[in-house]
Formats: sequence, structure tokens, C-alpha cells
Amino acid sequence: MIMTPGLRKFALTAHVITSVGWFGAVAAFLALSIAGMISQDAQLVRAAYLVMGLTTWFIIVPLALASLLTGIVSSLGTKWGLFRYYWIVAKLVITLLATLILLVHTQPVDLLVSAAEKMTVLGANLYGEQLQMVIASGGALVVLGVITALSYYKPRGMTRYGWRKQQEQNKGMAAKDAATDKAQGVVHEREDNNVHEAAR
Amino acid sequence: MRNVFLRRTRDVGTSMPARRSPPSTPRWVKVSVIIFIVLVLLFLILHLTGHGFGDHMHMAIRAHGGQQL
Repeated sequence: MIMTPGLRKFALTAHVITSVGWFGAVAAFLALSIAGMISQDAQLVRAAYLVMGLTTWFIIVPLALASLLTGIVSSLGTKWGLFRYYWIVAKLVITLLATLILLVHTQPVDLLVSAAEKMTVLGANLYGEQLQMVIASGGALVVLGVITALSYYKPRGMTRYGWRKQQEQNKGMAAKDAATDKAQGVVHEREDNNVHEAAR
Repeated sequence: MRNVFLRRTRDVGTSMPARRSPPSTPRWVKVSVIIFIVLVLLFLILHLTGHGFGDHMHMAIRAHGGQQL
């Protein structure tokens, strides 16, 4: 189902806002995770992990899900489709995986938040999780950058499914053209007959 | 005459290059798939050999000061 131009622009705007918001929130998360790992200030470290917990559950996870949803709606409602071009399939796969990995990584975030709530100084046994947060958020930024680049560059390549759909559409258009030509031919024939009759 | 002109302008406006066979997979897709497979394998190897960063199974135990079995 193709959306109206107004609805299409609305869906695309929502998709851009949620995707860019997701990128920005992950960038903030990366800064907090680095501060939490390297800072000597215990209060700053605790505050960083508490804010990271809030950011994860109230900004990053909702934006990731909204970005996925608006992306699917935007592609299905336009001529691009969801499986017709490789760059859209790539975006879908990467976004699905990124969302899945994000949901899995909420567990170590919750662990760090829980530790920050209970302890005044985080133990060295949490260093693995702290490092994991830095690497995961850095990797997420790279992945989200790749997704954004795919959207703007739109690298060429139509899938077999997209090619089949295009062939079907071409056939449909050719049949429609033939029917229109036939109808116009009949009209012109009638016009010619009327001209001849008037001349008599 | 008029019919021929109409048909020609319509053909120019709507026709697409006809291809008999499906398009081949672009190089960037092939390269991306190879990179993706390598990354997945690397991730699996790191986790299976115990060199991963997080130990999700025992996190809750450690968070509450318990000991692993």
C-alpha cells in the first residue's frame, strides 16, 4: 500500500528523528561509560551508571524500537518496499541485530546500576562489565553510522524479489497502455466517422 | 498520425529498461556478507573460549555479593 505524500513525509520525519535520537543517545551513553570506567571520583562514577540506567530504559530502548517500526512503515508505504533493494534489506538486518544486542546488553547495565545504588565505590570485579559498556556503545555508534550512510548513499542493487515485482509492474503498465490505446483508437474512429458524416 | 505521436510520448515516459534475467548481486553486498560472517564467527569464538567481556550467566550472583559455584 503506497502512502499519500503527506503521510510519507510524516513517517520519514518520524524515522529520521528516532534514528538520529538513537545515535545521539548512544553517543551520550559512550561518554558516560568512559567516565564511569576511568574517573577517580566515586560520586561521578556512581552518577554516571545511574544516568546510564535511565538513558538505556527511557531513551535508547524506546528510540531503537521506534526507529525499527518507523523504518518498516516508511519502506512498506513507499515504492522502495522492504525487500526490493539490498540497501534496505541491509538496514533492516543491521537494525534488528542492533536492537537485539541492545536488549541483551541491558543486563550488564542493570548490574552496574544495581552496584552503583548499593555501593559507594564500585569493585574491581565489575571492570569487565565497565569495559563491555565502552566497547558495546562504541561499536553501536559505528553500526548506527553505517545505517545512516546506507540511507543517504542508497547503494545500487535490486534483489531478485524486487526484480520480479518490477517485471510484474511493467507487464501491468504495458497491459494498461494497450487498453488505453485501444480505447483512444475507438474514440478517434468515431470522431473520423462524425467528420465524414458532417462533410456529406 | 495523432495516435502514433501519443503512443511514442507515452512510451518514452513510462518504459523501463527491460531485463530478461534477474540482476546479479552487487559487489558491496558480497563484501558486506563476508565481513558480517567473519564478525559473527569472531564473536562466537571469543565467547566460546571465555574471552568475551561479560559473563551474563553469573552477573546476578556477583551483583549481590554471592559466590559462583
